[in-house]
Amino acid sequence: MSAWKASRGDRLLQGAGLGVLVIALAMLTLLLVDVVRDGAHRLTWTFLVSYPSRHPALAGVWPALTGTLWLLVLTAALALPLGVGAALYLEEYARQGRWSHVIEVNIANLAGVPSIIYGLLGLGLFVRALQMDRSLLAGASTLALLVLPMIILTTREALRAVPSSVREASLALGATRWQTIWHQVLPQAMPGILTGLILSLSRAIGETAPLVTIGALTYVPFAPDSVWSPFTALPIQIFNWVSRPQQDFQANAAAAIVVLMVVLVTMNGLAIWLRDRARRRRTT
Amino acid sequence: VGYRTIFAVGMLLFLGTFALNVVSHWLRERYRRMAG
Repeated sequence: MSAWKASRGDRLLQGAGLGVLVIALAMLTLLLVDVVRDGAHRLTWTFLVSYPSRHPALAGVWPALTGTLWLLVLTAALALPLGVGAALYLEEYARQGRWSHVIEVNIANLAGVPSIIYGLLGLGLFVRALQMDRSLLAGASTLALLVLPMIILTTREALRAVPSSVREASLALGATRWQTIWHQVLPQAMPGILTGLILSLSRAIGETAPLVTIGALTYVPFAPDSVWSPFTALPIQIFNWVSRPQQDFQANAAAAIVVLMVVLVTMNGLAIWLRDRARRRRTT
Repeated sequence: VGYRTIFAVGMLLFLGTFALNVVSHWLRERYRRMAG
């Protein structure tokens, strides 16, 4: 193939890639503009701190917002140690063999299982068998199960990216295996682990199906005050308002979507700042 | 019966995704071997 043809192919591929990127960004922007335009007039402080109501003008997202924040914190607290621990065991301690291969395939499979399956698991295990009822803890445990495979997979990738020379040098200097992992491997893998956590929690925050399956309430006239409280979350509140015929409730749903996105962006921003700080600490 | 039915449907959905994942894993391994 001549050089001219090759360079034309390059330009074509570059142009096609740019076109696809522009289309994707334009659609996303259009969606965001549409949602903000519909809900902007409802975005007031009163909307944030009010309780749901039959009257759209009086309805607010306070129970859903606090429920979402509770869920986020509890899910991260449950899933992070379990996920990182499991990944550490699989990557640093487990022998590579038939069983570890089977476990790997199953974890990859669980990462792709529809979220409603986790809802059914949560309903059977947490709500019924462990009698947690429709509490925040049952919801957070279900969401933790949902994001666990993703955290394990991303943590394993982050651990694999740490050069083996770091481990060998640490062990050669007399450190134990655990000291090597705690002081050398984990700090180096932390940015990757935090990235996985951000992505996983971003998925968890937008999930409606598992929470509806375990029986999270759609009308909650109080804010949750403990892990045993009944709860609702922003996606459920949005689903509830969207399914109503009145136009004013549609505006409320659009405003709640904006609130959910702000929570998500704030959380991601915080996690990215933490990740960059961890990265800077390692390089200085 | 109604309550248990949702678990039966859920299991069907799970088995469907599991089968697809196993096929994708098999395909990936096969192409990796061919590329290697």
